[in-house]
Amino acid sequence: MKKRIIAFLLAAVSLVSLAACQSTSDATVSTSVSSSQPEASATPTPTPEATPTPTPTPTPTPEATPTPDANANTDDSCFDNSAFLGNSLISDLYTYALVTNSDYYFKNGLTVRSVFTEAQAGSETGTPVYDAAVSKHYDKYFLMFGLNELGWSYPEVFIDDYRTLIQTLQKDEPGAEIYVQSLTPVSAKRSKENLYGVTNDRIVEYNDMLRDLCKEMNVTFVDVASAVCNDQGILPDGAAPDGVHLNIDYCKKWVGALRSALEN
Amino acid sequence: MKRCLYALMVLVVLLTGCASSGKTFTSSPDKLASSILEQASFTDQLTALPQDAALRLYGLDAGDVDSCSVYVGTGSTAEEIAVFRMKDESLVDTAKQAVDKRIQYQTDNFESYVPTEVPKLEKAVTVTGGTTLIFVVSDDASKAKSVIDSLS
Repeated sequence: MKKRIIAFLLAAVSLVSLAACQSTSDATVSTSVSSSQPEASATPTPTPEATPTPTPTPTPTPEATPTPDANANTDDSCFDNSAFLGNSLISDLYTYALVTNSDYYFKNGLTVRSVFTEAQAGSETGTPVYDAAVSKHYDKYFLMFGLNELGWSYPEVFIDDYRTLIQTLQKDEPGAEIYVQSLTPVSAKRSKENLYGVTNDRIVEYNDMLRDLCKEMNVTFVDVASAVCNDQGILPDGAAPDGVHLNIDYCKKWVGALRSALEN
Repeated sequence: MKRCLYALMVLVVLLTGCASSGKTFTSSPDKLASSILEQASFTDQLTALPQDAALRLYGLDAGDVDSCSVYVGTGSTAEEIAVFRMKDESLVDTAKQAVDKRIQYQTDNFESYVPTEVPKLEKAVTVTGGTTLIFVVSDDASKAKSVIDSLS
């Protein structure tokens, strides 16, 4: 009986603590990546095939960087009514607020295939990333995929799936401009580790294939890799704590390359 | 006895996850956040966000927040520091809800990508005092908690 009383008292204290903390375990997630969570309007055709999910193992250096001034003295009107779609690298752009007049549709680990099936993190509706983006009808779409597909057995499958994405986007948004961004290089250390196919040789191979695909599909290829690599085509040490995900200074270089591409 | 232990575990989790410090933080959010950055344990490279970007990230209304200081990691980790000073004490609940949503959002983002980040989110430290809320996702939750305890 004593034990039951103790258990009851402890449970009561727990409930009081819970109330005091206002823990919203039943709260719906509304941290919206885009300006809204629109419902799907397109019906893309994802390929039903297993997708490897690379799991980067970060080995970063603890260090702080100063407050960003990314938008200082820059004209970002070229990003008006545009959307970024992609993987965790797009997450960095969103978080750092380097381009604030664009909408962002991303999820860590997203691929050219799962973009049709996976919802954004925190989505209340479960609407796939692609559907959420096209339902808002943007003038420009900036695509960033490939990092999570480096481990795929056949690069041709990546290109085929990317072609499907572009074709679907061209069909659903015939007036929109499509920009395919290159993969960004990784650090020498990360490349040497060769985890999940993440090597700079593989990245160059993918970028060459993407360049050809863009010519074939008549869309713009943006070589953002050149903006962040050193003269050996490698991501410099210190540019990314895990050798992959760019810090804010290198994200600024990336956005600078995009601005240049849009001006030309 | 099992029930007793279970209730105790629930209590410990709740008290660890969200605690009222019982004190009023007088230092500025910038000072509090930079102290945590210097003294707590992080594996990622944290970057301070401008206030408007920080509020957007947490979905908070600028009208509710007196000042804030938020540091974020790269896309490789969920590590983060957020200090919000709300305009009055009743708005601290709003900040708590924003933090809960942020935890859920990041968990959703990392659980199938870098699963090792999820325990950091589960052990994230949230402390309130007066109009201030402090939220830390770090490599060492107990160290983060003791650092926060030492702040005023």
